[in-house]
Amino acid sequence: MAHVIRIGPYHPLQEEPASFLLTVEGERVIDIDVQLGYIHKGLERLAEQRTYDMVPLLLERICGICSATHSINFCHAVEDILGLAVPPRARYIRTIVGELERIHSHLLWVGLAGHFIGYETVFMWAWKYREPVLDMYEQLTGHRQNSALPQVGGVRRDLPEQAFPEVRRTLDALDGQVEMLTGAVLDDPVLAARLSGVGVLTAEQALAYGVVGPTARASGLATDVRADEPYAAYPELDWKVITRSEGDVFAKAVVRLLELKESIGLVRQAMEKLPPGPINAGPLHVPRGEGIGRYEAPRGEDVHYVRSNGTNMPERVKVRAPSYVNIPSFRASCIGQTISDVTLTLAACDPCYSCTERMAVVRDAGGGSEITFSDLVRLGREKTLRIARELGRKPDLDLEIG
Amino acid sequence: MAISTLLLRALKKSPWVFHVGTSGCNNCDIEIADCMTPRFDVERFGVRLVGSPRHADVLLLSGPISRGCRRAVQEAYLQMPAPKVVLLVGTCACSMGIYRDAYSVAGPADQVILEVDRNARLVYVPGCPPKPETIIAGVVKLLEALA
Amino acid sequence: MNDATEIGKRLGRRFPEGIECAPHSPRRLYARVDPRLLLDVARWLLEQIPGLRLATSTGIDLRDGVDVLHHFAVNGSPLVITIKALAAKPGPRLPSLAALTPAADWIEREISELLGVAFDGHPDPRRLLKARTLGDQVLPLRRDFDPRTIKETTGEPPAR
Repeated sequence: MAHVIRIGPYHPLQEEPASFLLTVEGERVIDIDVQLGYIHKGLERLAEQRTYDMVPLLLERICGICSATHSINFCHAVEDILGLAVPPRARYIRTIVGELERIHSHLLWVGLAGHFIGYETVFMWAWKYREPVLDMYEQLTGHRQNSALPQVGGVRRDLPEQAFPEVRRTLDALDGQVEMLTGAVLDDPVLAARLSGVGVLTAEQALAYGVVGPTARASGLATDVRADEPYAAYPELDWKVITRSEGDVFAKAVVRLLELKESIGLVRQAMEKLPPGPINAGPLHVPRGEGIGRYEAPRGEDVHYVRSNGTNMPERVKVRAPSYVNIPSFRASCIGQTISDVTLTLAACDPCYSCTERMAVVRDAGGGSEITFSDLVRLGREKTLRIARELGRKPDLDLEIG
Repeated sequence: MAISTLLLRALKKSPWVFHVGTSGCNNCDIEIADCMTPRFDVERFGVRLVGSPRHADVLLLSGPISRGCRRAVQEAYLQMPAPKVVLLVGTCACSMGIYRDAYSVAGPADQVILEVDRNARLVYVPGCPPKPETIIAGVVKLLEALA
Repeated sequence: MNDATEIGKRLGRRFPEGIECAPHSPRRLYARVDPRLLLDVARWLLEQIPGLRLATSTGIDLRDGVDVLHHFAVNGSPLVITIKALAAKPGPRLPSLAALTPAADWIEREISELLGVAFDGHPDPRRLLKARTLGDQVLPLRRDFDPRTIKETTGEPPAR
């Protein structure tokens, strides 16, 4: 007999409130539905009431993690209308800001993934190592997340080069920490057994749902805007696109962990090669026209469409963040899973969340029984413990949920 | 000593916080979560995030209140046991910030709470986002002002 | 086959009428399509170009109708193909692409609730983003929308 389980709208899984309705038969999920709208604010309309200079500052606040993503990408779209090439120094500065953002976003995800399966140590470590990244961001841009740097035609301010030696030292330390974290996660047999084969998204499903970023790359699709449509300084730097073919949660973790290493290398190279020269193209007039910008956000391809009518304000700004196409793929990856794996599969897409514990009411449609989201997380953790025991290991797991 | 003062003193010892990310951009929410991690670690002082408003002393709101989540916020507030305090973290929660003119924002967070409780205790921590140090300073000032 | 001009020419040969191609640059192709041909063109693109996916769609309110732009990106290529179809007012409607690709599901629901375009054949045309307290006739991305006119159906605030 089928039951419907409601998760949310407030739950510790996602920053944005969203409801997930799971239809279950016994332990197995047979259908999933996502309800949004708790967080919709109407930014696209606000953007039409701002000048081209103000819009990047507004779009920076679409998402607290991908702040540089949206502001740089709006600039890409307007620069597409103008057919404008950005000065080299500005391209490098955008690369540094974008990659630092990717590092702190991926570290955040690693921590949360650990949290959901009961590895609190991984959570605390990853977030501890994330702090120096925010420090670097602050040293270079003056703010921990919202840099306010991107501007159509370049960047607003230069980076303080006197901070570079300190940033390099921090990067060197981070290198070792990330390596240790990667080793700790990838070499752990319990984690491998717990995450492998869970929430598989095949390459065909990934293409049909149009998923992007690490979610697509873990399913074997070599799609990365940094390589597909090279922007900023990426064509001049040495790095590679990480792909995995398994499509499960473990593959998604591997892709993100290996990307961390690439991103650290990219920041280091971009600081090394930072060319002298102007940082923006000066005042611009945006003519009538339309442009599409693409940018590889930490979670995947971000698309902006801008239509200009020749005034100083855009006529239409359309923003498509990567989670918008990644979340619907839950239908493909969650159906057939057990309830204890659902939280993990949902989290594996990195659907723009942070890890604050929130209320969740899970209601059994058949009767009046009510369990909390904590119980759902506990189910996930108990499975980890079971696997650990089968492997003859004694992991230091926290089954109590705060 | 009045019983209400005693309850407030007890609350000061170890304020338990229920966090509702109303409809902000995540940034404040992540800085709040950051307060829990090793560098800041406010659990040292007994401040704890809890999973249910029924266990909480402090309701923490981040972001403007969208039309979609307004009712949920009011319900969460009403479910909390008294005495209770509302901590508004971030410019959006304090004054709606850049979302002021957005069609889908229901109103400033303090108004949404005052609608259901005229005598609500509100604490404002502005910033976009406020740094973890600022949030901690806000909590400290809140506790000093209580009793 | 990853050049906008080349694909524009092939589209023109396959659909001699009802399509107007405008390559903007080698990376961007814009094609205005007769709404009756929309499904056929989208199906042809998805069949012909490997790695093609619907990146997103944009709805723009114009005087005569709502312009719906479907942006297709190609994995491993800088190409973005945009097919535009005008849903004429009054009562704008267009065929749905959701049967061709699940990527169209959410974005069509969004355009439908924010701009009032009906998508024929959409399998699940429920509300996605707009607050449940706003009525169906509140279309916030229409030009004539005024946020001050919003009347919410909130009902009573929750009881104590």
